[in-house]
Amino acid sequence: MPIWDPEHETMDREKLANLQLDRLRYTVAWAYGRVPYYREQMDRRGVTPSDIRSLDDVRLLPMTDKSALRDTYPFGMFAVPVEEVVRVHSSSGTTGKPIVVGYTRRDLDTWTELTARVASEAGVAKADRVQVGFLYGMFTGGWGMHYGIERIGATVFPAGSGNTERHLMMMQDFGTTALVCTPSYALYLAEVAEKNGVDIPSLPLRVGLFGGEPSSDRMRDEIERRLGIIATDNYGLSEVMGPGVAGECECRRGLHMAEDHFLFEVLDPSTGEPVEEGEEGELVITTLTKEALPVLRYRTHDLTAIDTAPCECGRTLARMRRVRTRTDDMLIIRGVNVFPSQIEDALFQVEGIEPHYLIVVDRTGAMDDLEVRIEVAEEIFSDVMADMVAFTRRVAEKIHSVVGLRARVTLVEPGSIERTAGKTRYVIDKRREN
Amino acid sequence: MSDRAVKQLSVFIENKSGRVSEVTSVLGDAGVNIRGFSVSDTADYGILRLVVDDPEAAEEALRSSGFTVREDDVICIDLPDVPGGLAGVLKLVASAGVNIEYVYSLVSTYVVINVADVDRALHLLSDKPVRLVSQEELAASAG
Repeated sequence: MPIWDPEHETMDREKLANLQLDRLRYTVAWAYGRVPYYREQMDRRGVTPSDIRSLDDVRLLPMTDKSALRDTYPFGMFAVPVEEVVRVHSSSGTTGKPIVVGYTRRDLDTWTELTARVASEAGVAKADRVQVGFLYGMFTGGWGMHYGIERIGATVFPAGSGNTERHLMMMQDFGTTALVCTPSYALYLAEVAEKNGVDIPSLPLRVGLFGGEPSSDRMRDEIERRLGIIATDNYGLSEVMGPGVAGECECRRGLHMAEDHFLFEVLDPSTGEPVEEGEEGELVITTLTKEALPVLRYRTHDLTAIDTAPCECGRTLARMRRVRTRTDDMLIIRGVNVFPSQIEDALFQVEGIEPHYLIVVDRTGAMDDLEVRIEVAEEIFSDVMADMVAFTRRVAEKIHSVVGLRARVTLVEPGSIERTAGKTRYVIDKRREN
Repeated sequence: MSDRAVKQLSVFIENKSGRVSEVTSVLGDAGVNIRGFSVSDTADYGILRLVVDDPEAAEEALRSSGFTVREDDVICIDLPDVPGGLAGVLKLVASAGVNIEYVYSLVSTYVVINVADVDRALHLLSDKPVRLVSQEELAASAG
């Protein structure tokens, strides 16, 4: 498959490191000179831009958390006057003020190049008809992917998220070949299609470009099976740009990272020290070419591992493992750290099923109570009560062996766990609500 | 499946008020006649087992209403309507070395039994003085 930007995507890694260092030094000077927040943080540590002499020196710089972007709402982190900014996006801001991000004309051009790169990696070409099921508006997902796909020359249907029946209609009538959305929306589409008797696998749709939320291998397998497509992942976040930060090629051995535009670190989330290549840690990103909103060492809270070994596709850009969990997904139950993905693993290990589930954490007196609700699909259901009781016992035992906690396993009717068109909620923590 | 077995549908129901009533309404609206049923329950949920005159129509109606449904082969026997009638049949089954998972009664003098291996049980019962009830009979005697 053709590579969109061979010069950068297949660059010799030593040359790439030199390019990164040049750009890092430029970005640090740019941020220090133009953003009071960064100047303050660096002055406090006694670091000046001239201290950055190697890529490892990035660790001299302060980390940036979401709160810094929130506290300077709306434009306090911009490194250019607002009149130089040609576009503004923001996070959904479900709690308090949103995080606002800005782009100069050159930033938009870079962004478009990088989403074109990600779409090409997934195999999208000029002849494709691409249906974008990301939210448009202030969210970066819709517009970000939209312009990259347009630049490739493919035909874009900016369907947006929601109105699932219209999505299905377009898929059937317009001959859609590629779908861009969140993995959970893809599953929701499959569910609605099956309910309405629309046979998606018989349609021309052949590839999915999924991003915007963590997902598991099995979620991907289920999407591939139910939609009859090849599923590819891509990664990005508004704070550093939006989609286009990394994307999977046809080899599907991790997501190629746009190292020419970002510097990536993987750190132990508790110590802040770098982990060995291949080890899991928190992804921390420094932008290397952003003008309007340079970001130094942004803590993504996403857990991943990086592989710099050459890829069969010919790209030399390092690959990150798909993000399955975030450091802030972690629940602390009776003093034990639990990730929702561990519960999902336990369910799968029981008999290879991937049911809809909901984790409910509550507190009775001083004791945390862990309940796992499982929808009874046909592959679980038996006419013999002893089998059902044995099933719940096996699940509870497996959860105990995986996370070290006793869980109450409750069986519920299909469809009774709430589905949303966007991101699925796997956890209800009632301790926070009380 | 054996053509001497009959179809049983099982439905998963949470212990919420009105769920059994919903299942029976769905079947009534689909013109399905229930010939017998049993409920096995825990504190949180139950398994409703049904024998009906038209299993295909019933299964489709329940599934399209969003219920989890499964279909199994079970054995339907017409008991002699005399004291010891059930005991006699169960003794025959036991002597054939077949372990019963569950048993429940239907309309008239019919009972349903389910066992781990229905085909084997039918074979073992074939030369015993037991009258098996067919699917057609269940449908025809409706009304």
